[in-house]
Amino acid sequence: MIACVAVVGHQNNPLYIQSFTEADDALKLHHIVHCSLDVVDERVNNPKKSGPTLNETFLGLLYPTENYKVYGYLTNTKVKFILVTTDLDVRDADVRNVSVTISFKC
Amino acid sequence: MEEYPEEWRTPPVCLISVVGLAEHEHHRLISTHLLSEQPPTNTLALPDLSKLLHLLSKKPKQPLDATSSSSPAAGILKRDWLIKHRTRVPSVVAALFSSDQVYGDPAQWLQVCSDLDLLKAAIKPRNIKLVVIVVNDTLSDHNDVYEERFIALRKRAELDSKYILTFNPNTASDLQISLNRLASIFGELSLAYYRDEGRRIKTRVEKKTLNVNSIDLNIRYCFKVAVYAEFRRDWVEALRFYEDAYHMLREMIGTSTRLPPIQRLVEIKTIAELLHFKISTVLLHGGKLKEAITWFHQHNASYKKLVGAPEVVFLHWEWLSRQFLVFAELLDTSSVPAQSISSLVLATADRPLTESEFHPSYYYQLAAHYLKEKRSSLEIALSMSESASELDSSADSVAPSVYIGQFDRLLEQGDTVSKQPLTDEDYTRYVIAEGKRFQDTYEILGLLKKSCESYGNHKARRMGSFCGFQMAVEYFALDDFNNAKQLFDGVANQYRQEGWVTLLWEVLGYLRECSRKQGIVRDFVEYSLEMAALPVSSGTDVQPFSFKECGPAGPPTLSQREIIHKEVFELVSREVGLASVEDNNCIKISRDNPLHLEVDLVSPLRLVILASVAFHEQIIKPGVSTLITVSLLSQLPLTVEINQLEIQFNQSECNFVIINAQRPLLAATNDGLQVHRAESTPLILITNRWLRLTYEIKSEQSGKLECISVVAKMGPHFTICCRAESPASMEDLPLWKFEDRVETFPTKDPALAFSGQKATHVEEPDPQVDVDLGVSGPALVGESFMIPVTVASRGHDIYSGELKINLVDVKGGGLFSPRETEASSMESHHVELLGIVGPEEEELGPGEIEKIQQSFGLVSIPFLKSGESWSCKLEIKWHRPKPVMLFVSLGYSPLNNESTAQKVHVHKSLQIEGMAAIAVGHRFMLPFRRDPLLLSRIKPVSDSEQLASLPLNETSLLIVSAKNCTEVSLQLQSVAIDNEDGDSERVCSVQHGGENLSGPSLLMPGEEFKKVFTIVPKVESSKLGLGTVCLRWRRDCGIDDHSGSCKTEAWVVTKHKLPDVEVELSPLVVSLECPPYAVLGEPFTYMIKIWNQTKLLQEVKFCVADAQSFVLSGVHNDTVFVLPKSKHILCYKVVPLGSGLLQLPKVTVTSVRYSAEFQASNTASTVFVFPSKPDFKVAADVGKREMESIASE
Repeated sequence: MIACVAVVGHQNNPLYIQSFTEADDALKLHHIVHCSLDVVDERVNNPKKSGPTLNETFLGLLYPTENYKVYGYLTNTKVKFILVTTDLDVRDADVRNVSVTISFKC
Repeated sequence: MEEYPEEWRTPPVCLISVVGLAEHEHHRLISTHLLSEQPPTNTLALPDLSKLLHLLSKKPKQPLDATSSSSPAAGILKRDWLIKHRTRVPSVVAALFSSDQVYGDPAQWLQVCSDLDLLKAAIKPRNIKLVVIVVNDTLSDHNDVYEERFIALRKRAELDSKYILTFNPNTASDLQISLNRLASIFGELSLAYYRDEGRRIKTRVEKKTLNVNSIDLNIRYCFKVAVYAEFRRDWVEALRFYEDAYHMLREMIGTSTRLPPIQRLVEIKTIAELLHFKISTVLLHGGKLKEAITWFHQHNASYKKLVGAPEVVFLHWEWLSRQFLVFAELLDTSSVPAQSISSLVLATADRPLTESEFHPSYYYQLAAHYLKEKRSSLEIALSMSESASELDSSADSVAPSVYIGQFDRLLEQGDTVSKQPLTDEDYTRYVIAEGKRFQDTYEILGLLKKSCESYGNHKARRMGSFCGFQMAVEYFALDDFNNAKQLFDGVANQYRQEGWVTLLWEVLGYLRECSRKQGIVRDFVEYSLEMAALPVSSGTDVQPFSFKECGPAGPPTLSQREIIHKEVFELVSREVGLASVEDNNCIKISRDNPLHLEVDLVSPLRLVILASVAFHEQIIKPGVSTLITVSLLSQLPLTVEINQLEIQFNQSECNFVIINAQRPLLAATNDGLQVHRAESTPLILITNRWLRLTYEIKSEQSGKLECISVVAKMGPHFTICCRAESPASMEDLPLWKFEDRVETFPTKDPALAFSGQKATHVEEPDPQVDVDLGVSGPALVGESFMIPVTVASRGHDIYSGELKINLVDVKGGGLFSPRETEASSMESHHVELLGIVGPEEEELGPGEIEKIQQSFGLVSIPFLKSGESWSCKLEIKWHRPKPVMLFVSLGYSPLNNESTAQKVHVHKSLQIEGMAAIAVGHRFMLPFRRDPLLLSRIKPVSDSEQLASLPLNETSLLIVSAKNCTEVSLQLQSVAIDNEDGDSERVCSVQHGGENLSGPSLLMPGEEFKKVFTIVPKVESSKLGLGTVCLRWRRDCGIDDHSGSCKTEAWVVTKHKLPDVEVELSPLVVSLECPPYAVLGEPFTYMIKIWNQTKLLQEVKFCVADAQSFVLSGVHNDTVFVLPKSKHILCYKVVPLGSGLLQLPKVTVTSVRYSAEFQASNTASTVFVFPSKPDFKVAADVGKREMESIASE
């Protein structure tokens, strides 16, 4: 299940954050999205280590937290879409589809 | 990791034992050597056999038969099994006997035999290997009995001969050889022992059928096989059996019924933890980082949901936290570099790993997270449990059992202590009591700190900030506000930079609370104002934030912002001495404790108040008023009323204060010095709407007028000083940039909003002083050219006047030729300012001339009253003809006030041409009708390279001409040739052709003056310097030559260097001789003389052409031979037939040797024929004069 969707500007400023959880952990999700920008930065700055995601806008799993998984999508204009899911066994392909859909709708 | 016993944390090391001969040093030697070997071996050194027997018989091994294995085990792993095998049960026993004992008398031999028997009996049940070492330390010779006894010893010990060693400690080399042999044998036997033990237990594993009871034992056996494999450094087998044990353990969870449920789970988890630790260690030791991490995730996934009974759920969190902590420490100490991991590998794994999972920081952070879970669960458990004293009493008698992960109750019955199994209730009470003893908060802080440092190492700033935030929250909970505030401040900066408003709100809430509790009023107000102005939920409140865990800030909503706004403005607007936020703290703003906040361009409080100041004009006249617009903007949620505004400029006399007319003027501000302007409408700042105020302003002082700041007084003792910003260069509010809000211009005029500046330029007053440069005509190169400068006041008094003089090349570039830098003469500057002459034709003193250089001068001007004037002359010398721009700038102060020193400047410039006064030229000539043959002229050489040639010992003429190129008349004093070479007279004679000038000769513009010199070279030379022509001249100042202004005019010397000449001996000289004039009909003699100056016979052809006007007698053409150093004369009698200037018969002379032809020029072969004999009355030197006059033409 998607717990949170965030759109982050090219200066790493939040443009939109929406959480979908019942639990009152919106603040925690803010923290998670913010921290995930470190991984995005690292993948963008070290393309050698990025492997197959080098030419792709979908950055894949950024990092797992205790209860969530964070996925990233980077547009050409350096706007990032961050997806936080609660489903720990989520498939990469599904997340990729969701990310692409979000990016087109935006 | 520290909580694990030593034997678990380090890899197992083989253990051997040496027995006997303790009195010697052999034990120490052997132990040290074995320990230093690679791999090392531990040595259990026992002095005598009885100790070993005691050690091995202490815990006799139970034979494992079928009945015992089927009975339920009391536990999975015994607590002391590993340490026993690492420290007490050797793999090899080495019995040391001295050679005297073995090869000595029969009594000693018998003792050896009995010892060996005892030893064999003791080690046999445990399959321990035996080695017999005979120490040969006496150097005695036992050759006779050696063979016999050795065979007997081998038989007695039932050993292969290679396991009976001789130890020779007598020499160093022998000792080393013996030690090496020992080490090799011990290594071999140890391996054999551990392999045999492993095999033995492995067969048991394979035999077992899996039933509930045997799982315990199977796990134990797998563990043991793995440990034995570790002893042998067989990591692959060790890993396999550890994993087998781990998997079997996981299966036990649902099936085992041996213990009460809580304790059962605790035991399983404890053993799982140890097995996992071992597996991770082995994987990391083998460099398999990815596998280790994947394994950890599996381990975590397997046990994460095994929370257990609700009353002891904290045990689960503690256990989970420890898993993360231990793994983080393992990664931290592991030598595998995380940087080498490619995510290419990560992505192909079943469960994709991310970069952060390769860093220990991630695990430290989660360890802290689970420890926090544990803390909160423990708090719940404590609140639900009985009173503390009961807990403590029940915990007293509980102790760890012999099995890992189990606990027993100790019962003291008299002197004996017996153990009794615990019930789950007892166990729960025990663990709660134990949990109470630990300060989890400090542990959490330590973990977060490690995580934060580790994140910092790989430049994950945001994750580091998050850890910092969590640490700060912990400190806050501990009431350690200093540490909390420091951390929160750092985190707040991070969030401010990137505009994470919600997170910033949360942090600011904590910071505000910290400063409230510390009683720091400034910080409290600053944080409160910043929070109130933050764009949280400024939109339509789509998402109702309901943060469960939101801190002291409360939810980030508009209403909360308003609450904070009201609170802070209530504090600052209270009357003196009454303010206080809470009853118990000392936050207040009073007369003694006023609050003044500074808001600069990077301050976060720019959201609270933003001041834009724009002058309506970029340049203003002094004393003329202009308009200035001061605009203020605030993002505070509620309107704010400003009591008064003070606008501050760099010229403090321009400062003014705007007061709210509806409010009484506050006594504290009424200092009487500043201009007060009352504003009829109240000064109210409405959210996101510019408050625009326009006023007139004027300045008397020239220069820059800049608005520095706007100070807003918002309460009796509260002011905010806001740095003024220009609308043209004003940056957006960083946090509000992306918010949906109406943006308006700070000024009504949009153009001013784009171009308005907070500074304007006040011009200086118009000068009322004239500076005149009285120059007429161009300057002449070489002369000291005087330029009169007059300073005349038309209205201003001149105080501290300064005249700056600059000479600038018109064409750009300097007045300086780089080629001539090496010349040390003063002429290195083409145009030079020589000096400044004062009004009375006197050189100005050093006090007046402040500075003078070749192209720059600075003169101070005395005080002049209005209407007075002052003048001086600039003395400038041109070294090259070039135009120069003269800049004269006068700076003065119209008022005698040094402090304000407002200067007025007058600038004048003038272009002055520099001209060469005299053009000097020269020409060489040969004497009339005499022509020496110069061989160099015959040769075909290009003209540019050829020097002028002069014949040796012949008289040549030099005509120097000087032409006045100016438009003024000049006086020429003399023309002379200076020869720098002192020996010139010897090599060349240069003499004036005529008389010296008796007085200065006037040279009108365009006129040319010529002077003739005779030159007789005396030495043959290819390059002979003739010297320099020196002309002395000056400007002609009119009729009165000796008075007035020209009195001081010095003679100017113009030099002209004569070119070098070539002097050569001419082989032949031809001269024509005829009378100066002839008379019609009267015959005269016309002679052609040919001198042969060589030592050779010269063949000369000559040819005389007929002329119409003359009758000629003589040979017309012939060839003659001229003898060396002699002269040949061709003589003709000629009778003129006409009168006037007539052409004589043309004579052509040709030298055969030199192929040179001579023909006299038309001038030379012309003679004037009078119709009749004239009547002359002339001096004797008429002819000479006539010659000169002809030459000068």
